[in-house]
Amino acid sequence: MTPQLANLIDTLLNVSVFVFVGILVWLFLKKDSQGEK
Amino acid sequence: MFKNPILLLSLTLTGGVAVWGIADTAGLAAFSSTVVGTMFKSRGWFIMLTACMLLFLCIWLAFSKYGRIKLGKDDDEPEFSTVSWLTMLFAAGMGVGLLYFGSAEPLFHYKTFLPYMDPPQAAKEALFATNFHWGLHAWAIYAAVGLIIAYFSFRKETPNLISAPIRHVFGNRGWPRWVGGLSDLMAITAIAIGVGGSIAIGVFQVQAGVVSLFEFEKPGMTLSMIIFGLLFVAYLAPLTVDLGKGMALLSNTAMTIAGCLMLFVILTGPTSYIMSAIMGGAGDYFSRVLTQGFQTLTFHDEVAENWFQSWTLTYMVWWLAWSPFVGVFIARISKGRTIKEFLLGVVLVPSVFSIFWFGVFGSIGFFGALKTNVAILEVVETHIDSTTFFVLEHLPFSVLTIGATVIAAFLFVVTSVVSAAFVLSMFSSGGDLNPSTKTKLVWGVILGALGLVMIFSNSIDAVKSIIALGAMPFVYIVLLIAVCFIRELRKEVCK
Repeated sequence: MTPQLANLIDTLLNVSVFVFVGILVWLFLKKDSQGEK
Repeated sequence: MFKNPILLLSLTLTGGVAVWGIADTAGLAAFSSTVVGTMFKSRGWFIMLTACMLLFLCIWLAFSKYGRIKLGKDDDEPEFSTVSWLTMLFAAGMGVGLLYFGSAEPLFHYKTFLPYMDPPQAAKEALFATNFHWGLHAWAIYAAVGLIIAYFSFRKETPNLISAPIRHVFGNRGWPRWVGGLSDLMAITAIAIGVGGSIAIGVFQVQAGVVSLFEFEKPGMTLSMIIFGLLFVAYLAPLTVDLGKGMALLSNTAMTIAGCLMLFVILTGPTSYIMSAIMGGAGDYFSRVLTQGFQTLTFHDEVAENWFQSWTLTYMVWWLAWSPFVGVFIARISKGRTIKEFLLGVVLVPSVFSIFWFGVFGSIGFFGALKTNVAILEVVETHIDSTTFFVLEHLPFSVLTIGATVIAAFLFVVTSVVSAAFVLSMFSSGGDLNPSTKTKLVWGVILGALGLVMIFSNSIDAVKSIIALGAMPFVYIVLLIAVCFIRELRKEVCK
């Protein structure tokens, strides 16, 4: 694996973590909709 | 039985891993090691942050206004007295891992740290690292998952499933439905692979004990297979009948043996040396534990980086792998307790016990390395499985204590696998508290096959990688159900 490819994979894996944390924050702050309890 | 999609998917997934491992053990071990290595390198910081966040969540909840909320209806009383509840918590924490790693882990770290510092400092840091791996962070992971399961099942009366908080808070249509299904699947995979690893560690431990007792020259795979066969029969039989109380008795027997062993080592070993090491280790641990959780050894060399990945990160993922299983067990015995009581009991008491355990077995190992000429470091290097027995061989009544350790290791694994097969059957049958015998037996066989794969790998490092691979996705699920839990708590208090 080239260093550039390894770096790209590393970046993508970390970006997926940031996206996940963003989703968690959104779920935490989200108001209950009618479909939810 | 085969109409349930989660059951079918989970059996296919875990069965597939088992078949792959049996057909190409080296290939599976190499694949796990590569994937886990990449994940640990990129997301190591996030795994440590997750463990720290869960510990802070436990501390905050215990001392917040939510601490008074009961795990059950407001008038529910605890089913077990505090003493027997704490004893059962010990039983949950006292797995075969403690017997295996008691002396081996502190000595392994000591050997790794020696080139970087002088021997007394290396021993101190090695004990601290071991206590860190088995202490508050580990139990906070268990406690958080157990608390969430207990809160939703006893207070909100949802099924005993990992997906229950998600479905309860966000409804059961659209994304919560498939994310919930995926969570149950991930929990099942993490438990199955984690318990498979425990079977392998148990077999390695029992084998090392048998070799030490009967002085076999080259035991090889035949002895491993004989021990595995005995274990397989021993845990498959109880799955066909309801042996709830019998299992508790076996688990308590194993725990009593382990407790007596610890006491025996304190009394027959260098007692003041051991007691001083426990006290020093406890002080060191509690003064540095919170900041250590945020350390990822970023600026150290490759040796330190590899050590951090193969020990600290692996342990944190390991606790995550076991958390749905131990969490369900802890939840079931904690009905009627307040959140504060639950958290203080589950996080603090077993952590203190672990500090004692490793203080005893670690310090007697250091005593051998620092004060005598016994070749204990060579044993750690060449036969890490035998370290505990090597220590016991140098104390009185060694045949008796080694025999007792072998029995305790065997019992710990049998009780773990029987309980795991029950929890897996429950998770894969929609939270049914009385899953069918057929489902339990199928899980028993799958767990055995996974254990066999890890025994074939014949390496504790390969076992750790395969467990980490199975548990990695569960990091996300724990955080997701924690968000559901806090949302529900806030809603309840606002009402």
